Amino acid sequence: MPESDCLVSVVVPLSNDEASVEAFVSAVTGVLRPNYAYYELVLVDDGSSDGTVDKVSALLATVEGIRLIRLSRKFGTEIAIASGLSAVIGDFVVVMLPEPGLVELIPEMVRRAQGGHDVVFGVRRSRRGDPRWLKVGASFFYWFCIKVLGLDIPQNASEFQVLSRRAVNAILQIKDKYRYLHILSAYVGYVREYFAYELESGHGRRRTRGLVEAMNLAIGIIVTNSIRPLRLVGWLAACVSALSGMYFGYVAVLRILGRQTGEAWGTVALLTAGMFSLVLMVLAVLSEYVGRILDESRDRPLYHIREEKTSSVLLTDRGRGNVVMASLQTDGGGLREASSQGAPIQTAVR
Amino acid sequence: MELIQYDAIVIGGGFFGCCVALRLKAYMERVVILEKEDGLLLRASYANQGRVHNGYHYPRSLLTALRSRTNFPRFVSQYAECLDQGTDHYYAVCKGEAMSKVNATQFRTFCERVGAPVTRAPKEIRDLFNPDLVEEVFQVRERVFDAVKLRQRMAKDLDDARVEVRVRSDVVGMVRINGAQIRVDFRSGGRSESVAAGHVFNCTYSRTNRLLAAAGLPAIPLKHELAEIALVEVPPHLSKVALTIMDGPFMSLMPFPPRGVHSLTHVRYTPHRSWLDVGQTSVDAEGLLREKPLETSCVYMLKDAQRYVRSLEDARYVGSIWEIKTVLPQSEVDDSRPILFARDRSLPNLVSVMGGKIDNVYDVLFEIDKCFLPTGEVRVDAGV
Repeated sequence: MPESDCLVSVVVPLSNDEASVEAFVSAVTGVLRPNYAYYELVLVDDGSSDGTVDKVSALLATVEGIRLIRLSRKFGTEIAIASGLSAVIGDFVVVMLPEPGLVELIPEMVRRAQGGHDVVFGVRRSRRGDPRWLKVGASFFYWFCIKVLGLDIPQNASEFQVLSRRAVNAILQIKDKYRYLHILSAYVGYVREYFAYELESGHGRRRTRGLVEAMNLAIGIIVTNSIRPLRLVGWLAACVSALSGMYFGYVAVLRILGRQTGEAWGTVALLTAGMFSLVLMVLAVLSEYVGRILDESRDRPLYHIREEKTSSVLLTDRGRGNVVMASLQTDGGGLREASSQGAPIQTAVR
Repeated sequence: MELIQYDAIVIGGGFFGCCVALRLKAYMERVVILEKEDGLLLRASYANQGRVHNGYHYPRSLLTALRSRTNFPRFVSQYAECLDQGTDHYYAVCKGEAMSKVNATQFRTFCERVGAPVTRAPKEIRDLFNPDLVEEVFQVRERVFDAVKLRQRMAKDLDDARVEVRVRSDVVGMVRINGAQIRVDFRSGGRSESVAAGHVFNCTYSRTNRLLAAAGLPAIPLKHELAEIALVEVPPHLSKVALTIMDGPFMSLMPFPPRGVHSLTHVRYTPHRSWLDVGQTSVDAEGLLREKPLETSCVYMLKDAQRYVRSLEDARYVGSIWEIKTVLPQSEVDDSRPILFARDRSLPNLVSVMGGKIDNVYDVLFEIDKCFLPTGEVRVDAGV
């Protein structure tokens, strides 16, 4: 595909971003316009309850190349991204949260994808600005996932990613209800690259997760992507059951020989507490997985789209520079002029 | 200045104007068509996908679908030699996640309800489509007309019926004279000329309101779009195939017989600009078409089309045709395509006629018959 024909799509999930969406859109289009002949900015509204949709609708009348997809309610960021991915038409798809500090990096990320990498992960070089508990928790999480569970999880990858059409199509074939894009991108394989970036101070993350949210996310990622925790508690249960079997034998032998077993209440209390804690732990892990099975087995659509709106100004009408026109003509491969049947029917020729 | 007298003047020599003139000829002697361009059927009658509707397109407007079902066989039998031969027509229904407003079951039920033939497409056609996006593909009975053949046919019919046609005649003004007469002033080859008649029909489609303004009449609310139809060469296995994807922001690919290529339109990318006529006509639509060069959106249309039909990666863009598409604003809401047959109280013998589909013409002719037939009589012949 000639580079000049390359279409770049940017997918951005929005959720109550009334205050920042205008600045973000102008930042993104400010980067896309000079860099790409063909692009689209797909904004997915994830059931915002504020004026996000009104703000974007107003932008549609003046800014070219925007599509607004409104989900029927709030489905969550990952599902919003998934709906955006299934709607984009680009050869390369940039996924990002509405963080204006990142838009400058789009051209470099896309260039790497064009260089033959199907998945380019945006990776935060440092977790500067995150609270200490999150930094420690994140390192433990990645250690656990990678070393203990053997998960293929790109460390410190943010939502910022560039995917080739091939990778997007592969990801769209995965119908999981619980979706974590960076893990899916890693899972589908293909050629990947990590693009480390540092957010300038003042351009922090849009928001940092709270403890409960971070824990839920961590558990969700683990349960969705690995059955090793099940195996671990399974082994543990097997070991303890062997131990308790041995103890049973020991007690039985003592009784047969008519010997005393010592102070009974201490042993019983210890046994009961130990066994219950084990059983409850197994139950807790099991219930997480059973819940997932139920969720995944329900054959429901991932999301519902309320409506799609498009810029009323088309990108192609903004009068592109001659440079692009010239390069198009060289690689057009013998596009021939359309005759207009002698009438003022207008013909555009590239 | 000589004032030539007619019984009826039809302004606009598109398909509707020609049919209206032919029908009027059945009721009166002297009928003339004033056409701004160099020939007949050169504008919107040419610059469209050539689809002869058979109802399938309007699962959300039962009335429009039923009217299409009624008009389809009439058009097909009357203009048989102007229709493209041997093309198979398919409608693919998208999945809900892909933003379709109907699903396959609803589409099939709808077709059965309006009596439109529908069968599951053969496997080799179904396999063309991406199963992630498309729920089901149906084979349907639709046709494509060849606008150039239709032009020749209309020219012959008008000639046979001895309807006068004046091309390069751009109407600039209309005034009421002698009570019920209307004088039409037009420019022809740099000269100003005038004709007068008791009945004037405004069949100028996107210029409807320009004509009304020329008569000093208020505008009818109309919505216009600068529309692009991309012409593409398709791989051989698609050469005799017409594909339409339903029902949302999707594409449609059909043979375009006048050029031997396919026409590609896309709900999202075909309209480049849209505007409403508010009060007096505000946007210079003709000026938009002259604005050169108009930048094609074909890349967008093709990229999206390729998501649905992978083999379109081998399609090659060869050019675009541009036209001002006009619809009644109410069509935007319910997807209906009623015809406009309107007259202003202050000049009742000037009738503005507008329709969005070529086969709608029979509804127009029905209205004309109602005007000129003695009360109670009904014309039975389907022909013009």
